[in-house]
Amino acid sequence: MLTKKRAYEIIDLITSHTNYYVAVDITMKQEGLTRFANSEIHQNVYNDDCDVKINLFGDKKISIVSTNVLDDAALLEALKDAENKLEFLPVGQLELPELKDSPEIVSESYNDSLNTDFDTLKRAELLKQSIDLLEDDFIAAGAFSLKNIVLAWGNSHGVKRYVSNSSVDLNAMVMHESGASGYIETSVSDAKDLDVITEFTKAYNKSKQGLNPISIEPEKYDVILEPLAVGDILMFTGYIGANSKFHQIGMSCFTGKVGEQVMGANINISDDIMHPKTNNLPFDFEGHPRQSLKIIEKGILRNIAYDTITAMAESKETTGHSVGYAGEGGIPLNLVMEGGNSSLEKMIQSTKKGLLVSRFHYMNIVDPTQGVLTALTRDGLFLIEDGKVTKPVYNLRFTDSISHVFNNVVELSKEREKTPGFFGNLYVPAIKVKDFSFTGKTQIES
Amino acid sequence: MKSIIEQELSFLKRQGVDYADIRMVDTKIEDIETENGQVKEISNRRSKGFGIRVILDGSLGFSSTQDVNSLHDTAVKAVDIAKASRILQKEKIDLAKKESIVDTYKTPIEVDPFSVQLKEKIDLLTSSEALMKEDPDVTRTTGRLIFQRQDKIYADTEDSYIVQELFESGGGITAFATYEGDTQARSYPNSGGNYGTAGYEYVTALDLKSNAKRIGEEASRLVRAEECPSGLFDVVVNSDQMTLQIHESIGHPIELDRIFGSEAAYAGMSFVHVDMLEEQYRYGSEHVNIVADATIPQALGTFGYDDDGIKAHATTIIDKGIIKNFITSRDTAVKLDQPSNGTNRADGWGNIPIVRMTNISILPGDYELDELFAGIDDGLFLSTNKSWSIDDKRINFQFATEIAYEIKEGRLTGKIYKNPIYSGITPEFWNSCDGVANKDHWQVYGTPNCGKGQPGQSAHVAHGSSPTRFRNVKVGVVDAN
Repeated sequence: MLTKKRAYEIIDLITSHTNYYVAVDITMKQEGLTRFANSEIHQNVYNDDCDVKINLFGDKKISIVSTNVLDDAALLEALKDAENKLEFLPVGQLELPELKDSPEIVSESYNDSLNTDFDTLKRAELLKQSIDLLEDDFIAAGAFSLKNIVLAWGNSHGVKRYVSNSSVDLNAMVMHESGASGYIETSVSDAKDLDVITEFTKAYNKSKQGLNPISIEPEKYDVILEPLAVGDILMFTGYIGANSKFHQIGMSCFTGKVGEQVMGANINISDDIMHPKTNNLPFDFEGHPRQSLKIIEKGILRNIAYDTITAMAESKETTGHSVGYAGEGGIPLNLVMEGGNSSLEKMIQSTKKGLLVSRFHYMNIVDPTQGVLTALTRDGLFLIEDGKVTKPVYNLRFTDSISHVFNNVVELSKEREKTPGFFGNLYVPAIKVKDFSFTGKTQIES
Repeated sequence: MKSIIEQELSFLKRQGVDYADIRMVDTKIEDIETENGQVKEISNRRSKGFGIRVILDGSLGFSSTQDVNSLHDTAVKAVDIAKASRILQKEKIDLAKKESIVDTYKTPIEVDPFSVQLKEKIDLLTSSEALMKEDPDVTRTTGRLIFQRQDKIYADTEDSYIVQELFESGGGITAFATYEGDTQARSYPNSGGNYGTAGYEYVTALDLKSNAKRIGEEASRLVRAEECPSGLFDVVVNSDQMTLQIHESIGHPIELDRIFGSEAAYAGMSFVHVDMLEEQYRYGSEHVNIVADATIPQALGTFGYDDDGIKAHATTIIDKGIIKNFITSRDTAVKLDQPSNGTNRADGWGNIPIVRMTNISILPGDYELDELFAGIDDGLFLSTNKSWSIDDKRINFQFATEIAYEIKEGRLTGKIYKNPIYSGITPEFWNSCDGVANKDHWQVYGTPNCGKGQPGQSAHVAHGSSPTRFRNVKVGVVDAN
């Protein structure tokens, strides 16, 4: 575990050995991961790595060198490499402001008790207890992991940041021998928040509901998207819709639309850095304090996320959403979508004919300028008829736009869930969307 | 280093392991990105560490460390993890037999990419960008070069000791043109560039500058082009898109660990099953001949030995449309009573090896490119990948390409379309293949970002192909709003 003291020692070693302005970021990750398939452990791994990234500035140039060889000599050699490289770089166009007089930011959520409660043996035992409950014609697959992560940042002006987090992550698919499957995914920071058997039971029950699916034609359906499915769409919405870089290069579906109605009036999306259900990361990779943003307010695009370079291009201040110094724009990592007054049950009851989507597989952007996404349904697609879930359905492909989806949300659940994002978690409700476009089937006609 | 490694292997033998290996991997990367003629970011990265894999009483444990002084503790931890794995183990892990090998391998290179001055590399990118930007509609340009040197030691309890020195080089350029609110991109040599196991000579051969002006002009034409029509079309898929077509709809489905369910909860499974070998399953038409060959000079999936210590070689996967083999590791091949065909590879030192593509290629056919077009009355020539998606059994794929060239009455008309999308069902699509261009058109494209596994691993693989013709392909989607 990289302590704050050791992290700051590394930062001080580097900053004290150069006359250039330098910013150092350190990433440490310890992960033990138990992977299971066919109801047995087939991969069981541990990795411990710490990487130091030196960002050296001078004459409107940035020289970046990173290494995981952490003895003092190797770190100073990396610093020397960065200095030597800087001399060969052409002069740039932008002088990035140096971060000064900024109070220390420390957030320590490292939970040592998880190392005992979910060590390798405990994870194996918990998995065995859960999998032993399955009938013989069902199998389980997934991953059960314990992670400790530290991010530290410091610069030549003595500005320092340190954050530590611990989490236990479980994803599990329970599958019948016919292929019907159910899935859960959860991440907790406190042992009391995880009941492994209960989570497995959810996946098990859904896999049972998926037996004997029917085939239906791809066309427009009203859909109820469970939180895992909503999370995927929201993650891509944040990536191309609220990222300043995508706006500035004309590759966002919302380019030029800040202040305009881009979604239905019932949609509210924020990047809430204080929300306990998302990520504890109070600063960005330029060391700036991360700001909370109202991105969508009653369907109006209010704010997008900036890093320093994209903010300077518009004579603005960074919002603290950088992922580095390359000017990749701001990426919101704490996305929270407001819920409504409905529930999954009420949405199903109000649906004459539609589909219930558990989650998606392999979502990708088809066209960022139009905000068109595509993905396949996975681990539970169900037909709803006359207010009831009537039959499981073979998976379908959807191809639809972000604008269409969020302009056609007719119900949102009050209950919300954490779902996985590109980095950490999102917090989203289930939603009901009218006229969602399915464009392909997943069966081989023989 | 050798004595330290052998000391720990001896310790592991004394612990009673069935098998153990230790890998030391030291990776150095230089990554140069430019944008609009300016350096965007140049980063040099180094990652060094040790991974120890043990099989104890048929159960697997893996532990890794960046600190050589922790190697012994890491070995102890790997054994402890293997003991924990036994709690939930139905079938003991076994390994296919192999030879013990003591050898070295080095990527053949002409010019060490790290010996080339940074200025020369930056100048290559920025001057290429300037040529792309000569077209007034081009509003943004990007360039990228990546160079990698990886030193690897592999040693195991079966007396193998293999030292490898692997080099990679490559890069590419992209022009973005904007017109009436739309932005379109054209890339060379492929979206994301092209990469190979080679020295700086690989970048020189890409000839970025000679292609830059053309790419800029094509981006400008593309942004003013009509939307690609929808419907059923005969198509010729260019090599730069065939690479991802092969990758997603053949390469991944034939991974034997995936077929056995190892990836079930994450990357998914496969519609392919082991009985298909005996059934002589027809994966594609007689024009479809697929080989996994980890020895192709300069291809990104080329190496000396995989991370099971198996020498790189070629394996026929599909012969005249009939599936013949899968890609395998020692622990998967043994279940078919076969030797491994050497595709078990790990991402760096901190991950276990898993079955990965090498260079999975479609062999060239007999057609001239003009002859492929000549057989099409109304069709499209699809080039350069833009987007991809496929389901968890690898049956339903959908790809977008940067550009479609119109084919009418047997020839290219010169008209282009933007935003082409095509989709299909894997075996139906490959059975609709009725022609592959000849070896004169055969090219290899490297994919440096193939994702698989938990924790996530990224593999460097490649695919060789010539432009290939498919009949009655669904182009476009129904009402994507």
